[in-house]
Amino acid sequence: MRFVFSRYNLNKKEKFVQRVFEIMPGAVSWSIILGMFILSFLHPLTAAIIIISFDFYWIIRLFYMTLFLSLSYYRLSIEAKTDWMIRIKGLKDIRTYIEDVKNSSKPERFKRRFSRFLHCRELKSLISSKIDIPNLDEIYHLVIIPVVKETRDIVEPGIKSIGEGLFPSGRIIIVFALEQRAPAPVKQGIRGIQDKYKNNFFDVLIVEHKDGVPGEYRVKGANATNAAKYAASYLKSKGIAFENVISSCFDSDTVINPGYFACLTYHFLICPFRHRASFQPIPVYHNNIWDVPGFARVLEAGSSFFQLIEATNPESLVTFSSHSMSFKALVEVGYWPVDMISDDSAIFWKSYIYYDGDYRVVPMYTTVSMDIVAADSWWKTIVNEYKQKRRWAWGVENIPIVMRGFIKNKKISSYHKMRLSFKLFEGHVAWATWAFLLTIIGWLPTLFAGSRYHETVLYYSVPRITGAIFNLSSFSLIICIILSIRLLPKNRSSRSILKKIRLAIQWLTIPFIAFFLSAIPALDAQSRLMFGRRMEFWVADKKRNAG
Amino acid sequence: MLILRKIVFYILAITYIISCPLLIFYALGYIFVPKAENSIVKTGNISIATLPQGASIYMNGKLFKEKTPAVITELLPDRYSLKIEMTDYVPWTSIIPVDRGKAVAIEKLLLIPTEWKKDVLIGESFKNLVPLQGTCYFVFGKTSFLRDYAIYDCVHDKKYPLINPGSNFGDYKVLKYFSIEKSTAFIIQAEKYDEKKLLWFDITGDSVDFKDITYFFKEIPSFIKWDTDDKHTLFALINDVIDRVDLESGEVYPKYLSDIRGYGILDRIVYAVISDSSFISADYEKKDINILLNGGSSGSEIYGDTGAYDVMPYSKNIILFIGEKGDVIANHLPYYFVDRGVIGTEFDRFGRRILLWKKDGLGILDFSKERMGDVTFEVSPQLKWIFTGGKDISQAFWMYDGSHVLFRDENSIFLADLQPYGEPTPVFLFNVRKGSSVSYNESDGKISFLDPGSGNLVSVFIVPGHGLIKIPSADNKIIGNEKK
Repeated sequence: MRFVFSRYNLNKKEKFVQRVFEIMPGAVSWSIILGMFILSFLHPLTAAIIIISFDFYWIIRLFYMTLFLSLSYYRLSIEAKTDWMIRIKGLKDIRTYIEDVKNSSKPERFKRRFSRFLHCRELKSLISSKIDIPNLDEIYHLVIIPVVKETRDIVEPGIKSIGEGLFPSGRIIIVFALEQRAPAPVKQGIRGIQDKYKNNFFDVLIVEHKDGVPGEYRVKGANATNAAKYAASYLKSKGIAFENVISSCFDSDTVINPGYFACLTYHFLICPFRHRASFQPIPVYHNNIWDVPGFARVLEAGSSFFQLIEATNPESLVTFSSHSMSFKALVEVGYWPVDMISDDSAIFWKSYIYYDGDYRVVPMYTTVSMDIVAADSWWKTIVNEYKQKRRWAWGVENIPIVMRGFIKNKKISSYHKMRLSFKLFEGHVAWATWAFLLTIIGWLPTLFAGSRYHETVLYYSVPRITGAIFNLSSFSLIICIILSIRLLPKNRSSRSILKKIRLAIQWLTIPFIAFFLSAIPALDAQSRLMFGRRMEFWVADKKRNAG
Repeated sequence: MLILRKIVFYILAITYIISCPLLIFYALGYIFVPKAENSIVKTGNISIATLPQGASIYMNGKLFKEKTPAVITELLPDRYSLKIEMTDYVPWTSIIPVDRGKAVAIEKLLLIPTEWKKDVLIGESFKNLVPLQGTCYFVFGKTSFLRDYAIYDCVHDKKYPLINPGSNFGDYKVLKYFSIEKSTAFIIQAEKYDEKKLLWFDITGDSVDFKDITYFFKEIPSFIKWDTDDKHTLFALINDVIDRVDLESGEVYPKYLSDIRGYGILDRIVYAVISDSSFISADYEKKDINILLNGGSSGSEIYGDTGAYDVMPYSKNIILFIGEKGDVIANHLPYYFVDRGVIGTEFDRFGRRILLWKKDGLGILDFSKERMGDVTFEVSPQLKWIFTGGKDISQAFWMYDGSHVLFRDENSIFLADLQPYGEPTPVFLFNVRKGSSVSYNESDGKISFLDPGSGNLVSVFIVPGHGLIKIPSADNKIIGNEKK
């Protein structure tokens, strides 16, 4: 369906609908927080019952998420040593290849055996589906890297990692989407990278994006779109078909693991609806993990865990941060929105509406590593983390546009509209309210109890039950600590027992993080949207210590 | 994975739908009793917290292994005999009625030691003790001459003379004190050969500021009052006129207010009952004078046409008037609360209650349950006499966040527990020296007095000072009924 995925240039009716849905998330979040606050004063008994119901719901959901976090981590770990190049090469003659796989000696380790089992199942499914598998030798990767203030030391490790990957770099085109307003040293750094790596890849292009293009805002999506449009004409000139190009839009600090592009190619090739899908790796934040304060490590580990959990639910998965998709689809949907901050998730919703619901995200159990937001001081890091999380939470700007799209689109089933709308809406409201309910509001009925409530059994039951629930939640905390340590890059510093203990202890900052660096930024973003105060794209500071 | 996710989702959703109502019912006190009732019954709780913690709990003669603080849950509605016991403390027993869905909170149970530990602050014999209530200072004397008076600072455990040795005022005899709660300043009226003096003292750290302020007054005032936060501005009542004295500038403002029947000061506002039975408030400069109650018939109905009042503005909303006969009037309906005999009051600012005492009894005037305005039937402050068997009650204090009352009857100190079960029965604590005052400091929970035998200044730790707001803790030991 043709739908302008934007909040601008709307007619009166659309403007009204847009505004209603802009107000709704913030209004609901504030209503929950203030409503519970007031109810705790006026009718603590009712408030206490709601809190017990909520806490119980929270612990069940926490266990649910912990289970799938563990399974997803396990899935990630079983593919850690997979040679994706062998797999994609095998796809050239799939019937011979599947026999080879079956006849090959059984791996000793269970993980490898399980990986082989899953691979065989995929191959069988591929054969039975009878879909055409594109010729591997005709597949190209287009990597778009928007740059505005990232210096060479931040960008170069990512380029190096792409060049050193398993997939032949001669079929990878790097496009630096460079903002015109970028400082001279940044531009110079990018040109330096181009000169150094030009011969390693099919090509390394620099596409400068002018400031103040009519209809565009100072957002990453506008820059990436400009670069993608240029790449389209470049590919045409080189005679490369769009359907054979997999485009990836990476944050400038993204460092891939060596098998990333081979893994992506594999998923692209075996995907029956490869031009109706985005491919989502698991983002981890390891580039500068030892150079940032502990709370920042915990915060970003939480983000990785969220993506790991989401990966187990492809039906509701939405693109986040660095991700990939068919270039053909990207061109058809009209590239990334040029007036939205949350371009990473917006491109999914834009594609979903454009293809009338025939679009999905395919999770890939491979990682891309990025930088944790950092600054020179502890306090500045907190401020930067706050700003970054608020920017992420600004993804709430998708809600009104998606809702308008859903209202207009009659081809998407009501069930799917309801399911995805609820998940999108509930996700943002939960983000802004849960920490309030768990850390502050949960105690209010007891704290402000009047004599009538004070004389009830409930007054004494609530702290006991919430205490028991919090104790149970420590099980999830322990799992998170173990997984966060296991996810760490394997180098000498990660093996230090003292460092591991320190990392484990840092997880005790979770209540602080959940409240100040998660719920409050989310509420801030929703309130801004509610009151029509738009945000500008804020480029996070990244910092890596030399050596 | 997707199928597994859906299966787990539905299992957990069903678990939640079934378990959540059960959890809420349990939280409300509902349990299933298979043997006795064979049905679901609504139970009650008893929450017990003692000072000190760690006391043994007996219920209906059976000992629980858990110690205080604890919550005894799942109690069927009944009357339970509760005994709290601890080595070196007097056992505490009571019959506690438990209702359906109700919790009995015994949260400030103070266990009385079998023997009190007295700390001797000053090992000398004294005759008089004048506590500066609400501070950590005492004024005491060995004789009635000023030279024999000293100050004791209980924070720094230091004693120093009230006036310098050799001072001209050493031979003056102490007649009377003027002091204000929580003020480190006080005034002594002293006399030598019919020459009366008013001496102003202010304790500042480890020294005493001292001023002869007699010349500010044309005669010795019957009352001198000041604001706790401004000890340099005095309001003295001479006959029916208030003079205002600024000690820092040395200026006197005669006839600050005239035709006065009583006055009091709070937050730099003077409240006064005027002879026409009106009630006014005025700032120090008299730029803002408000008539809070008109004189004439409405004022006369409350204050009568004659008689003096001690005005006690405890807050902007609670003002008490103590008449010459010990009658008590408040600025809340029905205005009249006691017709005679009240000799002292003490405000509990956390609980909006006033402790009143007569020679033979203790009462609580409770403003906390007052309901006015948008209610069908208004509820006025309630006066309840909690003890009526006294002989000569002369001092009383709120204690342990208003859960107990400490009082002196004749030369003995008693403690009354105000927990919401049964009537408070005062417990004897110890004797004090005849005729001397006692001091109780809520901030450190210590009572200080002159030992009846030695005359030494001693102190006894009763309870810890004010703490944070207490809420039931998840760490409180839970005693299920079945664990008995």
